[in-house]
Amino acid sequence: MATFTSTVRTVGAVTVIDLSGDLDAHTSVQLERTIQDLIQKKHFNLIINFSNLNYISSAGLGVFMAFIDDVRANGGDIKFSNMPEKIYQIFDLLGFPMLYEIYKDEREAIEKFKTSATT
Amino acid sequence: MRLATSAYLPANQIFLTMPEAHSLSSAETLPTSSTTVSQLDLNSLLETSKILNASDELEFILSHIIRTVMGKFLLTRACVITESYQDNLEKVYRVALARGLRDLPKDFFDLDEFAKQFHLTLFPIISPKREIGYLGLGEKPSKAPFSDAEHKFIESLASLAATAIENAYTFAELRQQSRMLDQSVQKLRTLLELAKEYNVAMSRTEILRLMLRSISGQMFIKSCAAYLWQGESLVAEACQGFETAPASPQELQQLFASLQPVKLTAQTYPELYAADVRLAIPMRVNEQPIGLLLTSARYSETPFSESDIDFMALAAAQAANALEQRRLFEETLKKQAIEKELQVAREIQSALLPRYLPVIGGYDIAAINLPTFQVGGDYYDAMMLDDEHLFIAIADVTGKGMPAALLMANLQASIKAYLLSYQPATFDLSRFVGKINTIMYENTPEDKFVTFFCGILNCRTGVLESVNAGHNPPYLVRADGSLIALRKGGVILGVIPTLSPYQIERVILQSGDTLFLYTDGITEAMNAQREPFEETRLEALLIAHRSDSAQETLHAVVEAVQHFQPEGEQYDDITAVCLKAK
Repeated sequence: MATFTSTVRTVGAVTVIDLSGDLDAHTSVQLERTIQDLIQKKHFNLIINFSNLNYISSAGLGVFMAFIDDVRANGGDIKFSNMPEKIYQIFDLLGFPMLYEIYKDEREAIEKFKTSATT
Repeated sequence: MRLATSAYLPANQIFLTMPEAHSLSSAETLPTSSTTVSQLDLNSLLETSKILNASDELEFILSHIIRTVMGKFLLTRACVITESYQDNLEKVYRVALARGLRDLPKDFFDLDEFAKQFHLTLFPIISPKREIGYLGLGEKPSKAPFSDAEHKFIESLASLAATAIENAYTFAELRQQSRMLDQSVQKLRTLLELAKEYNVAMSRTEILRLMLRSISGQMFIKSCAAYLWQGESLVAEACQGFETAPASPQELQQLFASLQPVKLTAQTYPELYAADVRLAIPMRVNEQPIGLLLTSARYSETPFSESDIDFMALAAAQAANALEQRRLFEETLKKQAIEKELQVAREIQSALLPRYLPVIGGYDIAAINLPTFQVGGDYYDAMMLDDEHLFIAIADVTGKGMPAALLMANLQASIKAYLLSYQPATFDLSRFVGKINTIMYENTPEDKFVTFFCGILNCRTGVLESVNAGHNPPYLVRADGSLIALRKGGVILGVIPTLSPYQIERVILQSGDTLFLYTDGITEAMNAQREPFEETRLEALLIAHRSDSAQETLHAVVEAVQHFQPEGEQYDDITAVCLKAK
């Protein structure tokens, strides 16, 4: 099993979380803590970059469900980018594209935050 | 499959329309003869066939049909109506696609009424397998009715469309089924992963939070909460999405009584429904309810299917089991800790009892201590203070386990400390017991006390001085079978300071006399009828065995008590010291 890591970096007013490895029941606790921490520090514009993620389980998906309302209530959003096909399939299967914006490219997602900030 | 259909259908249409093909009219005009289908119509049908059969998208197929007829007959209004059956077998119609028509009902039952209301001419769409629905067309610009040829053309088109629609339906159904299968696989995967993940090292909250996270991710749920039964009430132990866990004690209680998942309505559970709760799933361990899982609706607002509810019920049961495993594990740990403590208490207790009894000329001495599993606070001692003075004592401290063992250790240490400086000329047994009482009084909590008896025997003269501090009176059984109980002394140790001196009892042991010290584990032993062994039985035994050796007498008493008690049951420590004057 690939070790799960979530690294946080800042791009302007946006915070990008790079995921890699397997996001499952076990590692989802770690991601939950990372996002919790960011929200506490008032980082509400979040992009999750999935480019190096191998696997996501329902518990992993549940982490995003737990925060989306909170983040949006604070004028922010959680956007997804760089999803490998098999990861996207699971998001799609469970109906996530309905609630979350999913971008091919991280830059696109960053742009989206910029334009929504100016309008 | 698609190729075969497209090759077959146009041929069929051509065969049907061939007889009229000789009277082709100009390409720009609509067929003039009611029995004629033009070359253009044929081309149009061929093209339609190709297009339709190249697509699996229902929307695309329907819009192509509508576009074709609207363009061909310059219609401003057209629609496709599908038909299906309701649960009660009543036929229901639905507008699948419409152009130029406004305020259409979504579903309707009376087809003729519908056609009349919207001024539509209906053409049935029938596939080789079944009736699919109707093509509804508005009026031509000329208001003239459709000619026979036009009818023929439209019917041909409808016929072509039917198979394509049928295929699209099948394809959509397959896609839907495949998606449902994928979702089921995902649900199973989630359950398997959870089964792997739960372990006894996880806290209750961790277990519940993982369950909520997995369910909200899998079910696309906004908010959920887990309630666990704690004493008299259901307490929200984990919560996700809800600002605060919804609470309505009465409704929660009502839901808790349900063994099946419950879909909440505004009528049945108004307070929880108002707090966004839509579903309640029981959390059970071996059919025993231990809690509730509450969830809001999905983000998508799509209703929960049976399979969804099954999934949540399984996930809830799994978490409930994980909680139970954890509880049992904790219980085992606690038991082990208690067992360990008892083991230490037992070790302390046995270390305090004399390892060897003194061997005294003219006397025969024996002792026994049979602790219960729980370890009581019995203590006895027998030691030579000098060449001719024997100290004997017996005590019973309150409580069991470690506190009793420690109190006993305290008593023993005090006795030993005082007796170290034993001088027969100056030693005062009454003061000695008084001092022990003071130490016990100062060092023990209010609810702890000790019953104590001790004596010093001058082995040369046979004089025994004794003090009884609230202990079961030891017996002196004379050789002739008469018996006295040594009661003189004072209050039990450790309860009040020594106000008046303890009284000393003086007796002389003669040849053939038996002195028997014991704790209440003997006289309070119970039989199956809950009757105590009592002093009378003991007295009779001691009298009967007065000629036996000390060891034999002890053995007879212990055997009688053990025989008296139901097998394997011993409520209290059995402790006794027996001294015989030869």
